[in-house]
Amino acid sequence: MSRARLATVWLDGCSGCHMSLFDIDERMIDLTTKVDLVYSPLVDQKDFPEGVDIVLVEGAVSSEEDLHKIRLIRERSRVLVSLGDCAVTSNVPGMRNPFGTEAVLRRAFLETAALQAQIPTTVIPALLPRVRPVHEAVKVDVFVPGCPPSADTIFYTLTELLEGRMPDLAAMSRFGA
Amino acid sequence: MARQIVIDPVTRIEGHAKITIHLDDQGAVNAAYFHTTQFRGFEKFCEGRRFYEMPRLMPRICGICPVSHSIASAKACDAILAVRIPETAKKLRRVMNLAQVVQSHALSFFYLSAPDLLLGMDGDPAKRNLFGVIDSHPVLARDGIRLRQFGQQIIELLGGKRVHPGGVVPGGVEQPLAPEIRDKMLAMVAEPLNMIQRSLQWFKRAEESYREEMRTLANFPSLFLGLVGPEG
Repeated sequence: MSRARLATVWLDGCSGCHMSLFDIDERMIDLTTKVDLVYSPLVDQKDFPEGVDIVLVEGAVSSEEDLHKIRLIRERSRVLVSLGDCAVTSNVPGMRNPFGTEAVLRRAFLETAALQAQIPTTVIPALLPRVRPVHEAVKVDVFVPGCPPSADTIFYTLTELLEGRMPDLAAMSRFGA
Repeated sequence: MARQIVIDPVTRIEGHAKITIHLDDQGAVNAAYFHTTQFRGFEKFCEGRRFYEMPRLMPRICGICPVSHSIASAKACDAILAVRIPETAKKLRRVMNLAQVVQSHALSFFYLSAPDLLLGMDGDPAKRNLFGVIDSHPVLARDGIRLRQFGQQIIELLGGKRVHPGGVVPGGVEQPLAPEIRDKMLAMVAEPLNMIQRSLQWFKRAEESYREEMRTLANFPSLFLGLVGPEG
């Protein structure tokens, strides 16, 4: 069997789902025999490659850059996994939605700033008016709720997908926990 | 001609960032910026919420160092309540925080930085990562994974889960330390201690081959200060 091409990406999240992936501990060593990690915060590849078999997406779609990225990721990946509550529901990043982009930026960059109060307008990706879950931007194949999903749940999801099966996560995941 | 070098994204770091380096006509560096590319707005959306939610909400700032954020916000809650927390609670919070130091250092060194030292800063970018280290230095890689696991397990024992644990609350901690949990933790300490000693010895030897980089990379007067006591 040829090695599967795995990618992981963090959009607007806290890295916690990636940490829970790392919490598979020594099973990580087994994983290196089954997959090539072709794109991830853990590796140095800068552009999302073509022909990805499985991509784990952590985080919500929050900026114009996130939106651009997730569309490209969808185009280039066979199975897209919405990993964790931020990806599935927009969760904590989505908490800014009732206030609007301007109010949250003003609070953080002007009202509470001790030095050089200014809202960044260049280089930093512009925020979307509303944070959205991944499936509102692109088609999602597998949803894995949890904040974060447990290491066992993530490992199960990966091994099932690598075996060509759709993981049944009903008993293995819940929102929040 | 003036030119800009962009590193986007910065990989193998604990967070979201890009770097832009601005060169002048002669190709010398004019300015360099490290841009944090993520923004969520905690400063705003926490307003008006119940204060005792904060030790659960704040950890979501960062899933790598959730314990810090949990404790920092719990301390703010202690101040709001105007209480002095029990000494035992203080110590249990501290143990949890130290466990996080262990797991985060293990992550930072073994998972993120070590590939540069082990596989070379000019090594093949496709291999210069944890998977490459597992392949070329399996013993060291396993030590790193086990060391991070140890920190995460202590957090789990005290806070119920590894990432975004509970345990810390306004006024102290949720529960006392059960003797069997204490004994379990004590029994776990020996192996990671050996790993740390082994890794330190390796690092001190490896240091020799990076003298030139240590002399030139980021070696300039700054306002930062490192403090190490006689006990390390």
